[in-house]
Amino acid sequence: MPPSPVAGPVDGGTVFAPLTTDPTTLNWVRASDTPAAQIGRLVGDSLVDHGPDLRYLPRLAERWEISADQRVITFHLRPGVTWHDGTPFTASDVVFSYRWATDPGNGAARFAAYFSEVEAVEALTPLSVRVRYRTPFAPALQGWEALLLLPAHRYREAAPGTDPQERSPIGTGPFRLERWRQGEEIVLTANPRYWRGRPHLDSVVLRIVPDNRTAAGALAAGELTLATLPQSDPPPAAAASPDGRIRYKRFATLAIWFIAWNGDGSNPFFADRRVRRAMTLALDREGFRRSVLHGLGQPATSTFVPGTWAYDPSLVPLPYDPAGSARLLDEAGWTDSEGDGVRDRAGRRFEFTLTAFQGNPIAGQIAQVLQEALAHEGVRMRIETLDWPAFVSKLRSRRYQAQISTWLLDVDPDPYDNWHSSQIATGNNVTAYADAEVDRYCEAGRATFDLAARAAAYREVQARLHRDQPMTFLFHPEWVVGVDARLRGFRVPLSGPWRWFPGPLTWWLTTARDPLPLDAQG
Amino acid sequence: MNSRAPHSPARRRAAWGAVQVGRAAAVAVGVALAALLLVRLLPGDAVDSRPGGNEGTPIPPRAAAEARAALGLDRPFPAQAIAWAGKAARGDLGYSLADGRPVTRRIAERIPATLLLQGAALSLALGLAVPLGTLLAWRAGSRVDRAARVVLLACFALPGFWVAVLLQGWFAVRWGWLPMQGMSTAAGAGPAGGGVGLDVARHLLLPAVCLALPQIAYVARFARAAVLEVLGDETVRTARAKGLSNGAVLRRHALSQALAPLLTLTGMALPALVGGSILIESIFSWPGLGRLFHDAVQQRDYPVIQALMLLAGGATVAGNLLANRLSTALDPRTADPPR
Repeated sequence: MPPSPVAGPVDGGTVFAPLTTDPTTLNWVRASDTPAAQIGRLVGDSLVDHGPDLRYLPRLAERWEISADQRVITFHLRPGVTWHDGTPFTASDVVFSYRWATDPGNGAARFAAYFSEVEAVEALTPLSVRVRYRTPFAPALQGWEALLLLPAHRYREAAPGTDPQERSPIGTGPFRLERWRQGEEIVLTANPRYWRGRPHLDSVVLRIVPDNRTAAGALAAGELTLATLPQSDPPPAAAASPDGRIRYKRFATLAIWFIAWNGDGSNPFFADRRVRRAMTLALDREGFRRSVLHGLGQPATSTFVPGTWAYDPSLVPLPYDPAGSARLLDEAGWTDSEGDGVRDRAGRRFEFTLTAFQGNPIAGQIAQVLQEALAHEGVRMRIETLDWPAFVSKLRSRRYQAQISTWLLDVDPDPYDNWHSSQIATGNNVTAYADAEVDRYCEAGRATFDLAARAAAYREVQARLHRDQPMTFLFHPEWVVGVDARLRGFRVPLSGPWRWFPGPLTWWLTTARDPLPLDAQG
Repeated sequence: MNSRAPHSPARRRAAWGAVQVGRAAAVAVGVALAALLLVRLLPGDAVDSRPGGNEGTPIPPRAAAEARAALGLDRPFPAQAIAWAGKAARGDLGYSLADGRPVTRRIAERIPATLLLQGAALSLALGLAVPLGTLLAWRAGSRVDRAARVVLLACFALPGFWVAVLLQGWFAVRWGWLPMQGMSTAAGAGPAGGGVGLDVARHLLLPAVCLALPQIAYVARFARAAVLEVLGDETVRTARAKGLSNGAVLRRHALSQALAPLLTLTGMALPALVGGSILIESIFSWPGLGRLFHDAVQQRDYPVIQALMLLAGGATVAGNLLANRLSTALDPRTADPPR
């Protein structure tokens, strides 16, 4: 527990936090939405977790062994753990959860990639599970970190065709689900028998607040304990509100904003690396970050996140260089031969459409800045804003020319799904990026559990992504969270305030308001 | 009824009523079918709206195809539409594509919140606007009337979200008199004081006022015009000539005649009762149908969208029909002559 100069943590109290919308389901294996994930992390448990530096840590697995050929992982489960209904947690729950997650009929599509290399999962003893892989597969632990376990016994007792976890799940986690009032709130209460000891908080009430400006107001009005402030507002100048009731903390996440250039050859522009680099050079990313983002966010060089073990800090973001941009476009054959102010090549004018998601106002602003910058370069860019399903549909069908978007990256930095050429047709390689060396390094990084060897392979991937600019890597965004000054033990690692372990377990409430800024706390 | 002659006026009125109801039902079905088609014209579907492995990443194409087949989205649109219409006719509105629960259940749990909010706003609007409009008609051309015109125009023209944020800032954040958001105090947030009813009423006040303001402005101008028109009417002149007092003229003659168009207006407001308000419900975290509709569109949850359109279309038609019947009852001259 963090030492405090005043007094140690005390038990009791309720934290009120906003949730933008109801979860679609509370079966956390099927669910793919953020609200369900947030609740799942509090009610459920996984075998593996991660620390603030994103290295894997034990959770329900006390420890694990990896065989010499790196193809077998044996998990040793924590003894004495019970589900919220008192039933003991055993290896059969792990096997059941794996089978449920990988059964295509259950619609848990995201687990297909996590467990694609698994050959067999079997219970050796009631407290040990052996997982056999076809090939050494380093991101394996990510799958076991993402898989919040399901209680096998509830499914045995449930009527066929029904899902007992859908609306009223039980887990082995620090909080139990007490109540779910659709559109209003979800109430979680402390699990007194949690294996790590009960959480300090008596309960966590998640209020459904769709508008983040309303959430910030509700924090100011004392109705919420914490709320992330709207990103388009200037961040507070001080570390606390003038009355001292709210403290502010800036945090980064595992996210990246980018402009993807479709290099599949369906347009005559972006299959050429020189053109993509010219696009990046034309945009004053640093100026935008300082002015519009008020300095929030970190410059990006690729899809690897600063502060994680795989990140290469030696790469320097490409500068803002309009003259260099123009030179590259000339070199690529895009010149204004008709003298009409728009570059052209072989009778085709350099005109393209950038697709943006309408729910992200900052993306819209970046798009406008780019539009103006490119106009000076003799490139005409149209902006098209779509709502989420339309946006995704366009992306999936690859019918876009350029798109500005954001990814929330996984705890494991494995770049295979996004950059390996095998993922162009069926996976998430949305820019149709194909580089034989990158393919090799992506494969090498998966084939060993040795972090140093993986990091070395991923440095090579990063250098090539930086060179080739399949995307213009914009920023790793940062947010400001406002927190009621009575909440102590609150820290935000890269994976966000809710996702890491122990996370909210260390939170506690005091009746006194802390005069210190959050960062100064133990 | 049966003893009447076949071509008696009552018989014809009844027949005409049946025609109107039939027409209304046809319109409601047409609206729902049009909505069905419109929604399908939007690019992207329920599977597209689901995030994949990484949030913000679409789910892989093969998994997406499997999910589409499971939801029946891979069938041709006419087949889906016919299947839906057939079931809807039997009262089966299907299951939500987003959370798998029955559509009727999802709508039923949101109806009370929207009825409460819209009902409160409408009562507030009528309760304040009719007396206000009458007063302004009585004082037409006075300084009060001219000032009121400016204020009412402002109420009508101010953007709803702006008024909402302003009121939240004053009443919830600065003064702390009223709650910022939600329909009731959070579980465990201390005693609400005064019981559940008062707690909900306190949460209701700000969003209801926000919704009512433009309605007040509109109805008050409308009522003023209606009363003013009647005041210049022959009946009123006759009443005055009889020596009736101003108050009596207003009560007995002017108001009763001005009431007819107002009732029409109320009938027309009926669809709003079940339509909800996307904006106000979002800003105030009000768990109503407007938000359900917004989420359903964002998730391309076709069965929910279709059911809500059917409901809204039905309410619009019912409201018009009701308004029509009411004004006919009050003033038979306005009856749609049956042919």
